[in-house]
Amino acid sequence: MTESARITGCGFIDPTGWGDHLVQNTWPAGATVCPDRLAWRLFSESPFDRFGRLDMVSQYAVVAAEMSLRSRTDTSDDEETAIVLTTAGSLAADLEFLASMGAPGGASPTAFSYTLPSTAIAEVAIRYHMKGPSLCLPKPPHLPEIGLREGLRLVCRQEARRCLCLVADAIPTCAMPLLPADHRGGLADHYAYAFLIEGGSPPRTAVSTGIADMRVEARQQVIRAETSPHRAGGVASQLCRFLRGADSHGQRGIESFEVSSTREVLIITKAADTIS
Amino acid sequence: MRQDPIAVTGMGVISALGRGQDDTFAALQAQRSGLGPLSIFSSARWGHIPVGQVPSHVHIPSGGSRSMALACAGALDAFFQAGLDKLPSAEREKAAVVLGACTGGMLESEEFLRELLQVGRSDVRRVRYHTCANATEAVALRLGLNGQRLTVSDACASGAAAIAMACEMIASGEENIAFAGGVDTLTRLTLNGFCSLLVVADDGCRPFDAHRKGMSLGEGAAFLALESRRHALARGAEIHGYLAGWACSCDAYHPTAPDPAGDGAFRAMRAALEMARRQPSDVSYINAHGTGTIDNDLAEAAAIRRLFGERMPMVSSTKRHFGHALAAAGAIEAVVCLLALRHQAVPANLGLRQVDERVAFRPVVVPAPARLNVAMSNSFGFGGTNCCLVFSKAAEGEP
Amino acid sequence: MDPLIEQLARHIIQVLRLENVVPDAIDPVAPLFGAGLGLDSIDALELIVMLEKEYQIQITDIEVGRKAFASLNALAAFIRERQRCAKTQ
Repeated sequence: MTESARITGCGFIDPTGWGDHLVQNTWPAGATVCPDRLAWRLFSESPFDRFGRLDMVSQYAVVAAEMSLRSRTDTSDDEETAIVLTTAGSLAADLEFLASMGAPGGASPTAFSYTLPSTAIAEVAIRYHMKGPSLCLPKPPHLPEIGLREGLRLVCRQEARRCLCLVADAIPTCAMPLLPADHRGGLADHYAYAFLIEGGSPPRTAVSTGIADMRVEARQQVIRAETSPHRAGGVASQLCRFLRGADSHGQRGIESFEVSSTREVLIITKAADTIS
Repeated sequence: MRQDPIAVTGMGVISALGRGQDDTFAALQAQRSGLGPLSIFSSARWGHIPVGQVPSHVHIPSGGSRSMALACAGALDAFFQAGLDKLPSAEREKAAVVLGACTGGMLESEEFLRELLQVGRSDVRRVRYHTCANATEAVALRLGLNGQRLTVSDACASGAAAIAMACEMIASGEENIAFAGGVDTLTRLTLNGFCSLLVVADDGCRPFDAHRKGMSLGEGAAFLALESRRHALARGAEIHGYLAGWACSCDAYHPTAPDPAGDGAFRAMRAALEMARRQPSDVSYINAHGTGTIDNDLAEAAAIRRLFGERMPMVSSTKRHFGHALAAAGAIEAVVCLLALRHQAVPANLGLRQVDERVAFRPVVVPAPARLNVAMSNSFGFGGTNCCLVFSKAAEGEP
Repeated sequence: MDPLIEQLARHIIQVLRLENVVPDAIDPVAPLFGAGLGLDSIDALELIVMLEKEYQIQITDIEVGRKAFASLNALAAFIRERQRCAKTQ
């Protein structure tokens, strides 16, 4: 069976701004990335009172999820699921909690609940009622995977009808010493990218609600995993730009995008009706 | 969906009960609790809490973080029991590694941070093992594997979820062989964290007991060597049991508290049974998640009651034997289920004096010989992650 | 507003990072948990930490905490009672 799925939503928040595959909002000149100030605009139609209480990586994940899910026309709780891929995971919360351990009054229970990288997925699942099998996948920064292969596996095995694949990292500058020197450069950013995928073969109807089709092919030859440091979030950022119709030089024209692993290639092709 | 059972050809376990299946089973039969004093670090506020620490006399590989060492110990034991060292390297090295982990190198990173906070500087080499994925890489390197590597961090369901993911890879034909398991160590962060939630028992956990005070922390690692039944039979491997079904779900309820109705747990158990093409009445034994907290035990009991009704199998939680080893728990308890099926003996739910009247079953309180064909293992974690594994005994799976 | 109640309201807003809430907006007699502010079990534990840090009052039993946190008024009364007991010992 050829495993294939369709990407039907894309959302992002990163140093360039936030938005989905159609619309990008840029940060005001001189502004720092600040999900707190963003929250009231983003969630004004369906308020999210707890947003300010989430840790930073959860905030980023929820913003990207919110942007990607806006095109969703129907929901089905236990057929929807989410995956998050993260390199630094709960690092910021770990630091906050460890510092609180020595403070008067004792350690902070709230900070502790965010010291699990999977809490970001929990916040997304709670907010969007996703009750299917969720996954948090910590990954070394040198590997290019962005969770799409795992999402594809879930929807093709019919464990979920839709899977939200997130890549999220948020590391405060003070945490840099906690990361190995050769990994620091690519992790200095705060970002989250979300790709909503739906299972089954691409629909053959003339009217498509999808952005791109995705399939996996075996490599002819197994190769070793790439060991050169990948800019964390880099592949996800590139895919997001591809889906938005802008390649690295801001020009249109590239119609397929590949994510490679040792034995397989994920090939993502723009849906026919989205190709200009 | 039709599903051939996945064969377990090797097991490795290291925990508060020692290292290896034989020591582990002997301890379960002897009703020995591994809970005891904490010694791998000191804690002025919580050092008196009994924990499930891997005994200092137990041999673990040196080098790297404690997580890496425990994971390598568990993986090596599974590797050699499965006889994979006898496979041609070209075939062997393609095996996948899927590891559940939450604490990663935190035990070592904490020392760095403490020194940094106290004197303003520390040796950054201490934090080179910080991320969870380091143990996965270490296992792959130690076993000489060059295939797919995945780390799963789904809180206390991590180890079970890793096993489920590995089974998916084999069932789909993506992989022939996979090592799947879980690892976590005791850390100051988790000790202080769970204590800050007021969910830790100062007298050791008593799952399902009417007067239970909470959980006990533990540590350890466990691995299963998994392959398709066809692959195992073709190379003449001994099969120790089967993964007949698996399923995961999410409560989508609260970041730390479980859904009191246990709906997510129920859905995971039901889906795992459906995959295994079994009825609830086929299940002989449930190894409960049973942490000993008020909330978890009630939610799990509600889910079990809803699925099994009056046809209740034998149930026990083994958390007072091992402590709650977090990401390793689901993998350790997978080994417990497989040992139960092999030896046809159910382990006891230690610490139980009087069952909570809100729990609809009476856990097994002494190790009991029993006719077991199918066993179920539950693992539930913070964030509402749920994973259920269904095992069948080796003889039943033979063609 | 009672100065202790106002101080508690500020602590709660700061510790629990409540968005768009000012001290005056918290009704001193309204439940803090469930309805009202919609605080949950983790928030209760965070307030236990706050009590120890700001008022040197320890709570080790969550049930004691539940009663103390029933409302702002209940919390203020609990603190005053504990402080009074501490002075008379």
